[in-house]
Amino acid sequence: MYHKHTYILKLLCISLCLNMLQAADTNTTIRIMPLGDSLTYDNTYADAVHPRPDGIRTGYRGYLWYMLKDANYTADFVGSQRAGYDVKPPIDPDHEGHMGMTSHEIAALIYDSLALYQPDIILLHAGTNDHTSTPSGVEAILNQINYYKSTSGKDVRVIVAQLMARRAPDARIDIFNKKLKELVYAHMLKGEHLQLVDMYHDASIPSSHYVDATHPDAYGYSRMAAVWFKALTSPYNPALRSYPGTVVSSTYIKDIVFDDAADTVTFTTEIPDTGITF
Amino acid sequence: MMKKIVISIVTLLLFAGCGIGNNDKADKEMVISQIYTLKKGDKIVKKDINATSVVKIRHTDKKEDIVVELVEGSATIVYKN
Repeated sequence: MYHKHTYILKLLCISLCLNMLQAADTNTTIRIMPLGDSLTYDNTYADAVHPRPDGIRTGYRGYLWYMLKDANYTADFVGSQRAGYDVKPPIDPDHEGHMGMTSHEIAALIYDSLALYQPDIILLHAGTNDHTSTPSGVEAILNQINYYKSTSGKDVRVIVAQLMARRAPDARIDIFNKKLKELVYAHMLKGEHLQLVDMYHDASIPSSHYVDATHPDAYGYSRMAAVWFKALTSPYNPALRSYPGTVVSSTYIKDIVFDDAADTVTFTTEIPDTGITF
Repeated sequence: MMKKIVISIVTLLLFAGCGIGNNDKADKEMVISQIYTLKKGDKIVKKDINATSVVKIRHTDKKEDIVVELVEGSATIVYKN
């Protein structure tokens, strides 16, 4: 009798421990959606003629996965697309990179993926195929993400990248990135959980590390991954991001610098006619 | 006894006349590149409504003090009293 009770008790303990482990895993795994175009999928102009197998295409996602693993960051890449499932060591091949698509086209389809895959964090690099200097398509994507947030009640942190450089200088990208920065700050000041990364300067891919006019080689993708990795693993304080918007309208703000490590935001602003009250 | 009361009243009146106990801070004209520490409720206004004035503001999360520097133009700090 005693042995039977002990046995049952042991079973209950093991079951409880397994449940706790599962709960811990659920709590700490961050669902990350790499969102964008061919730079997210890993597709080059040459793939249009002689396509590489999807199983070996990893782009920045592969390097980022390994960096996160090395840092014991428990991630789950999510999305409707799969590429890179044959590489060793294995990576999570799920993503939301749509080759050849403009940001407006991505905006048109993103809601369903958000509802299905429920990411905690989105890595957004879109607009390369827009061939314009206006980031209205990125704004359309952000609006879709906001719509998803309002309908699901789920908060999502979006890390938006200013476009990486092409092999040859492109003035449109400079203007696009400047406007994108203004756009992201305007949304941020409304309290949206956004973060901006400067893929153009921080990845700083030399022109010799491109396989065509737009797509980098393995080294270039590792540079992109390093920028995402830094953003994902650095301190992030959403309250800091909304503070400037609580004292002055975004239309007056000229520049903002966030220092999450010091919990500080420094911004330069014009004084409106009504003044600034702290 | 009466003398003590009279002395106390006169002393109080003197203090009141001298402004002791009054914590009101006067408005302060900002100087370019000088750093000012403000509190919640304080305000910055342009001196010339038709000119552009620019300030740099530093805020630390969960801290009440706000550090402000005038970068361009002219402005006045109106302290909350």
